[in-house]
Amino acid sequence: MKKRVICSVLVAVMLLSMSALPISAGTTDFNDVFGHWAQADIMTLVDKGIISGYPDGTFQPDKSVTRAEFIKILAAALQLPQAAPAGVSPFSDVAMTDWFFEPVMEGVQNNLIGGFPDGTFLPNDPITREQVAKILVRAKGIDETSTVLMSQSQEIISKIPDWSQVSEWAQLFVINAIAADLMKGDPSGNFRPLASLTRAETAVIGVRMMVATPTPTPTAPPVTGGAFIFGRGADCVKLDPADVTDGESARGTVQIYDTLVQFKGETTIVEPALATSWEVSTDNLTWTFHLRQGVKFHDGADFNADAVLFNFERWWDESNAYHVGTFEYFSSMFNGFKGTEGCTFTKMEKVSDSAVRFTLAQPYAPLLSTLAMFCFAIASPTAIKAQGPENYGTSTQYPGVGTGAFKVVEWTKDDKLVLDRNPDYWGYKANVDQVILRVIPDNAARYLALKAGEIQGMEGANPEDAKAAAADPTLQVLLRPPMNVGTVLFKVDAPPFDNVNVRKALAMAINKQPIVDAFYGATGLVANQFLPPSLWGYNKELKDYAYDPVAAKQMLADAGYTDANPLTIDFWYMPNPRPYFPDPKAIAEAIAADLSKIGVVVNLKTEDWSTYLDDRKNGKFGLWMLGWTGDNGDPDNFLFFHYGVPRAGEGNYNNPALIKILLDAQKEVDQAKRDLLYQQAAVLIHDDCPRIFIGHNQVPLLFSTKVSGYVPNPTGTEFFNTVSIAP
Amino acid sequence: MLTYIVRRLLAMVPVLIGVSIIVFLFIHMIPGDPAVAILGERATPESVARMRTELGLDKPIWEQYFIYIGNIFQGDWGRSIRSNTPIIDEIRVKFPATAELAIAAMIIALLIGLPAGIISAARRNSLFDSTAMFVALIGVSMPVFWLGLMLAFLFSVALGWLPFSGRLDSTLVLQTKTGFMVWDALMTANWNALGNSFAHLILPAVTLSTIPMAIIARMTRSSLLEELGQDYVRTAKAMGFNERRVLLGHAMKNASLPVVTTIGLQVGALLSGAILTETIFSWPGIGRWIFSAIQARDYPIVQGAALLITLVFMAVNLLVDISYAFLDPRIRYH
Repeated sequence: MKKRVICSVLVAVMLLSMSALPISAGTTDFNDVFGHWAQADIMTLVDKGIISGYPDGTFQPDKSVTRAEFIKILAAALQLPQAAPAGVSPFSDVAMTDWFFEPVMEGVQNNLIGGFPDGTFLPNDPITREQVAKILVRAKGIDETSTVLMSQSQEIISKIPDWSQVSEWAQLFVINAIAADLMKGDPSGNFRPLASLTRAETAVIGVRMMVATPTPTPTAPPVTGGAFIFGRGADCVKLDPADVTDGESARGTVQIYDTLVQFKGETTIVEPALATSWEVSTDNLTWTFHLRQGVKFHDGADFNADAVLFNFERWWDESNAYHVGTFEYFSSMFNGFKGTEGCTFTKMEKVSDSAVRFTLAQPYAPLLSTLAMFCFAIASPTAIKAQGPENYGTSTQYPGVGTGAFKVVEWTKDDKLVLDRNPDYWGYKANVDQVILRVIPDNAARYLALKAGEIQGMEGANPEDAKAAAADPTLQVLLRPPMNVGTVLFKVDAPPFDNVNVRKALAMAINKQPIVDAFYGATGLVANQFLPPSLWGYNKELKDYAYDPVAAKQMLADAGYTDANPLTIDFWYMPNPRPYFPDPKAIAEAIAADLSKIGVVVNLKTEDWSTYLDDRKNGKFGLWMLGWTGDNGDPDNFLFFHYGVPRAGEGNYNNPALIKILLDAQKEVDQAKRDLLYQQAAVLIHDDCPRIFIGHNQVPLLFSTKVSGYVPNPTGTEFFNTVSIAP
Repeated sequence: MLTYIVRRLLAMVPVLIGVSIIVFLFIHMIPGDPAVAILGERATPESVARMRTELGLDKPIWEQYFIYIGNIFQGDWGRSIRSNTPIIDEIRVKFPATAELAIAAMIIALLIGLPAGIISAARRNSLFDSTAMFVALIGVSMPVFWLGLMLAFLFSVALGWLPFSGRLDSTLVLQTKTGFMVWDALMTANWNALGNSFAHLILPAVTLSTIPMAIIARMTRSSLLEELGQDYVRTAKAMGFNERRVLLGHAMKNASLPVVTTIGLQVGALLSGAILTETIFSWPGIGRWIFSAIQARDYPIVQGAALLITLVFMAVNLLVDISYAFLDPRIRYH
């Protein structure tokens, strides 16, 4: 470990000395943006000079935006062509000398925006969300009258409680804006068509339009052919997604397999995949999935209801002849196997060749999000039978066989997994002919391989390499939207941390912002609750414990810990980086330094990772670092997993009121109500302070500039069929 | 001679059993088990218990050991706990990878280390001697990790002369029979793959060769110097034999016993100790395999690999002992 650190530093020094360019980071720091849910997008637009703050150092993210301001920002984000010179202003209230004349003309000439029948433009009126929907749909070149199917519109409308408020002229635009994922409702589903757009919302839209509109050649077809070679730290364990839990296996299997439903693009929104549609009974207990027709597995077998049931029964039923393995994700997400008390499913049946029906023991709101996880992928029954369940997916000889965009050609363990394009794929057929997942265990060596052109993309860069890559003209850095949280946990049922004030004192003593700035690269966010801000259920109103070492020291003194009788603790940190703690040792040292300022005597300790997990599970630690990476974008996956059942591994934190809320939220199918329940939960957790939330990390992905079309997803499972490699 | 070899081979059995017991006990004594390693952050008492049952880890440890050793005697090395791959299948791929690297490194070490040691001894205290021994000192003490990354940076990134990750370009396909890429490419007359696999071998082999090279050079020098001080050397010189013949023909032959012993030990060390080199150069060999298996508590892999390495070590030692008889006629085995 020490060697690795020294080497990384040396290489970093060397690389930096070769290309000593400064890194473009957000140089403008607004005092009202940090921790804001739209912080990342605001900073992106600020860095690009598309949007700016106010002279007093504020950004005022919640202030509304006028029509003139919006079109100026959008014109810059879209890089609209310059307006043809006009001799006279078409609007009575827009003068040629106005600062917004140019962008308004650009918007008009590109048919994005028009005036009102009375010849006015009303530039200083706040822009409404339904007006924005129209502009965005036009900007994307969507024909609002034909793109959305009738059934889909009905579905969209049914999810908007305030649909009646949408003006008639705007209805088609609103539907299309939602269908194309250009706009979303608020957490309760309301679209608020007449509300004005805030500056923060504008920033999010600006970034989305910027990303979604490739410039300068928007109509260029993706480059096809070639091999996309991606470097990673470890190999797939197995090519059988149902029986693995690690991210590297997932990265391989999502290319090979499909799930019934899947996460869309860079979001955790669930969209159809092998199931084209689904229905839920009114009691929320019976789910019927209609399956895609004409799909074939890589081995030529038909995909149908029998195939789906074969897989589900293999996972679910321990007595099934093909249930060979641990099937950990099934049992942990659905609370055990067939016949276990509390298991989510009670019945799985075939309705027809193209439909299956699942009956649940009780309503389970996260069902769709869970079924979109990589592990619930449908494998070819004929392949599993032919290979034998104990061999399935373990080697080139026994490859994984799914319906996905790529099929297995060769797998040399700990070296490379070679996948070929599936020319018969039901979905978007891959741009590249081949995907090669290379194992390069050392982070520094992997970065050098990227620089040497041996690979074209990688994950798991050392923070200093990610910075160097940002300054390297041949490389590009993409950030995965955060769905993780790094935390410090207390054992709350034993001294000294059974005293809530001691816990709060420690929370107030840690200065999170400098820690996040220093060790999460330019991309981390300070955390004040379990959920990352990108997730629904996030409580925007929650105020974090303010950094106040003086008050913290006083609270410790009140609890009986003074300089003469200091609080002495062992503080455990993990030996290896995790997605939520890019550099655990350095972060632990920084936290320890903050704690020592209020008089706490901290002994830093670590041990081998497996031992660490074991000791944490058995409740050996009093104060320790651990975090979480979400699986499916549902708050239940963050909160219920940790606090649904009191455990030694969670410091024996036990709040019956919290547990009740989490159980209710699991059964409640109305997302707006669930959203509120999780926001309440965040407050209870905050008040009890069983953990100190440190940061959310946006994991950097490094690519050669030849790579395009890679879409990072918060779950970390990304489809490579959209990737192109320039020659 | 033959009886000696048979006796030595038989003596390996109790050693292997002893090693298997020790490794088995040690790996099970470390806290954390495969279930915890697989589950990561999601390891809760319930999920760990469930997984231990599924994996068969809930049986008493002695029972697990007897099941294991019984299977070994039937030629079944077991399967990986994590991936369920048969261990023997992985050994077939990973052992040749490491062996190819170790052999290449040893050839480099011998080609440079031996002559350097001999010349240093012959020209004791010359500029060559002190330079060579200084370089050898650096060779022993240079961190392999640092050297590997520096070589990779210089020859792959900066100059672009040599590839540095893996055994073959990602897009090249070579059907391997023996697992020795260079050999397989040669046998199938696949010149493209031959050149490519050879190029991939250079940087890791050079990196791995530095320590044995330095040790061989120093050992050769010191044992040769010792011989050069012997009476027979003086006699030979007095009888008018030329320097070179005395040095290479007489002194070197006698000096070679400790050198051969050192080489034997280094071969063993290269096979098991290539982990750092394999990590930097993404070489899918046995060292990395064991290391990740220990982290994952994949018991069958750790046990199987430990047995394999013990076997190799003992085989090399046996070969070294046999070679003594050829190098020194006074040594006879019965």
